[in-house]
Amino acid sequence: MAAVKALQQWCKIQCDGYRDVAITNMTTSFRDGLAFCALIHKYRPDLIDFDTLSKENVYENNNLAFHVAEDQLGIPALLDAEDMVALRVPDRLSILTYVSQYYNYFHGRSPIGGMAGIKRPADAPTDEPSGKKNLPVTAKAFPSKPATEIRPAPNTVTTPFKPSPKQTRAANEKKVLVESSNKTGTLSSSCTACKHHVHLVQRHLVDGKLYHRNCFKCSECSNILLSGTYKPGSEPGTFICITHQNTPGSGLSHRNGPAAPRVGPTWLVNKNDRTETPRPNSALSTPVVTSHAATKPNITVSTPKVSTPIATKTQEARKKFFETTPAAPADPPSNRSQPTTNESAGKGRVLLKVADYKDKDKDKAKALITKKLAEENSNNNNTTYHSGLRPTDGKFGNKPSPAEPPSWKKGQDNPGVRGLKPVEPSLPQNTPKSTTGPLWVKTTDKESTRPPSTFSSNLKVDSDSSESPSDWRSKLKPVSKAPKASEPPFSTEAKRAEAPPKPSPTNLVPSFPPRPASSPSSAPLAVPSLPPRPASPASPGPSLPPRPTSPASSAPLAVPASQRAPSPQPARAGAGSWGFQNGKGSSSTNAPQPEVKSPKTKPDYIPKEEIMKELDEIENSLNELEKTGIQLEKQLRRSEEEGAEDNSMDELMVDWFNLIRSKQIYMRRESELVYIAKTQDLEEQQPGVEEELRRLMEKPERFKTAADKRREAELMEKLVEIVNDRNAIVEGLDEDRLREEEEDQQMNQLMQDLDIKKQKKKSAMKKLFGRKT
Amino acid sequence: MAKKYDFLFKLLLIGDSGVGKTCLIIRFAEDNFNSTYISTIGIDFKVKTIEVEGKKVKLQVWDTAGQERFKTITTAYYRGAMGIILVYDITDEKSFENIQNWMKSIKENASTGVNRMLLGNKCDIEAKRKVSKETGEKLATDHGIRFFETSAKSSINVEESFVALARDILLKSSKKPGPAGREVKLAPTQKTSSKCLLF
Repeated sequence: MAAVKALQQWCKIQCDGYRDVAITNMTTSFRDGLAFCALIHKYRPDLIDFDTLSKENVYENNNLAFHVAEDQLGIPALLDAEDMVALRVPDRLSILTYVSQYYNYFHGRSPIGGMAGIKRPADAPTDEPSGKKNLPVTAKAFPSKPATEIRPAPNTVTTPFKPSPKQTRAANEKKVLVESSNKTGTLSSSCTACKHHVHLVQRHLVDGKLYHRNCFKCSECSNILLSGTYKPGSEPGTFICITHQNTPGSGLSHRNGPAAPRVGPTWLVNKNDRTETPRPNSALSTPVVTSHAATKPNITVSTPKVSTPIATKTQEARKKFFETTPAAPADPPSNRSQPTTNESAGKGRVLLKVADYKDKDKDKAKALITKKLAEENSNNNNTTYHSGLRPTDGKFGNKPSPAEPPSWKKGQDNPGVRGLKPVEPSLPQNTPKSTTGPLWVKTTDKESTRPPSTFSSNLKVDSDSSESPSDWRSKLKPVSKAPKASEPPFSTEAKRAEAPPKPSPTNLVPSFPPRPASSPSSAPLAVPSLPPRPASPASPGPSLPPRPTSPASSAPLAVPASQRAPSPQPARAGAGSWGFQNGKGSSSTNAPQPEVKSPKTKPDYIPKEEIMKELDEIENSLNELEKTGIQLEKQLRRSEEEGAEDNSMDELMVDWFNLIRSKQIYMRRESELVYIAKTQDLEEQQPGVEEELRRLMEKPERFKTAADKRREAELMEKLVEIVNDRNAIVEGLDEDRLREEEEDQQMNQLMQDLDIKKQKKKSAMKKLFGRKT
Repeated sequence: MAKKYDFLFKLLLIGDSGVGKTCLIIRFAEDNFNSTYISTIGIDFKVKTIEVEGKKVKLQVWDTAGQERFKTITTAYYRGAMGIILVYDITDEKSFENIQNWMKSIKENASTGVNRMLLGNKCDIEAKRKVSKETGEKLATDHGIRFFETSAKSSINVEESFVALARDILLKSSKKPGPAGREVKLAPTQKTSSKCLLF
């Protein structure tokens, strides 16, 4: 194959002069890892000290290269160092694909699958600090007791993840590929999570463990983990959303998280909530906060105790609640009138508990609710949404281990109705006090009284300061500024405008597969264009409405379902849940709304729902792409086996690279969305910290207690950290921009060339690779 | 959206406490003004994209606390700045005198060759003026830097000054990819259609 040869030639030239590196093929020449190191070193000598490397250290060399490439260059590790050790002859296609990423990256062009810099390494560092910082606050707030209760939760939660137990084992397993397509390669190709074969296009390596991109989920809330949004879980081999806490106590929060935020990526939702929550606390005098927190936990604890006899049940019930909570609004369509009352009661109950455990969660929930309310008034959405879910259930049924009913996930999968029913019965147990309305009311009261609950509550508490963070903020940054036309944020509208005519996701997806085959040139470009999608969903309604439509689209997705479809669905479900919450929220509290406004008013503020919606859509697209990619890979391997050296192989290769490229584009956008969400989080977080800090600083020095001073220092540090994190995002985005700019330029050029090539029936790949060499 | 720009420049404002650094930034980035004085704590920044010479320039404008107690924090941010804006209050002579100290601080902490600019803020309060425009101009000339008298409150010369500085940096960076022109390319890609679709 000309293309492959061109790539090989490129490698050879780059590695020329490097000790022990001789590129004679695209398999064994790379096995010892030195070639990868050399490629990196050639362009970034600062990253690798090549002279210290030894040919013998296969694992170390590969590991080094893969990590450096991923962490420093943003080149995702398609390969696993352990595989390189285990396989005498590494999988050619994998090497090709991986090396093509180097080529893309270093060449500054992306003829192939410009996978370069998918996700900013910056993310992780950025988040971590903030996360850490937050931890202390939360930790303080929550007594240890809740922790015990919580504990069960994580387990249950994990259930959906059943495969996880095996994870650790799996990590080391080198399963022979089951699929015929893999004959050639002996890569360990089974997913750490689900144990099924992972196709090249789906590969997602984390800490040397292979996952389906879709299977890399939070062990607590089962959201797919995007880079920069997760951290190691409490158990080895598990990962959780960065917003979750590893501490046992955190479990609760997770639960809540999933329940309410379950909506989408927890990190997104939770984070915000959390961040918000902390704010209120901070805004309030710290002491107050703690006291509140203390009391709450106790309360919660008590409740559970009541139910203790039925501990397990309670827990399940609770889980359900969480699940249901989100779902509740949704199910009602049919039952609504009746269930509503009960449900609401139940929900309220749940919320209460949650609230007790964590103020933050509460705040979150509130915020969410309010937001939702503000944005979505219609329960109809929920209904539709649910209907959408059902199909999902069927598909995904497999995934969530059926064994565990309570798992929130299940709840998601199950039509909201189902989940609800069980819940109801359970509810009574937990909440004997007030069954229906009263509970809700109660909750509301509690929330309102509690300072942490939300901004609105803050106001009260803050009376001394008289300004809630949000207020303060609004003063600083008058909302008045309308979004500037010049830099309209992501507004869906903008997208729509730009969006090609493509009607709906459904259309998009299907369209893609055929194209690559026939005319790769147009296809890749078209597919990547994200805008189209938003167009259809966006138009229907604010946030949820689109969902309904999506279910339809899901039908096509159904196919992939067997493999990985579940992920997208859950996300949707989450969305549905949000809506629900909102509904609830509305009933519970209207106050929060102002708060909501403040962020929204910001010119480029993108509502979380929007972000989540788009993430969902991207997720769907990725699933489609992967589906196509799997087929393509099979074809490629087949023709490779058949020794096809002709144009057909070339074309397949071009399609393959285009597909990788498309995936890359989606992932770019995905990571950008993550950035945006994070930035917004941080920006919401900052005023609160500042507020408290300011108050502390205003205190005459002689009146300051040691604790005050400590707190002051902490806050100062945190403030700087927030600012630095924001800055890191700005810089990360900029680096992405620079790289992507080049990539896109090259890509367009390439596509044009390809078109011509195709027509001329010449080897397009040759052009691709040969161009610059 | 975030990526729709051709250059990213980092600007930093320094000057005595209360001269109006934050207000200038808010006026510039959000076209707003609040007369309530809120001292800046530590460090912060705002982002605004403007157009200069037909190029979209994303300005990340760093706001520093003028108070001495934050000095250690703020000076750490000098180095990353491509442009530093020194601000004094025309109604406060002391703030003008201190410009020398701030200059010194730049020398000590910022990267060499950083673009500087001097702003005399609060020029709307002519009645209380203590520092004549000529004095300010002279100082700027002595240092070979730009000078503007501004008013965040009345929106005088705010945008103009920022744009002027951005232009200086742009021109400088396009001449030679120096420290200020980090990763700045002379001919930024005009967003291709595919790109537009993306963002």
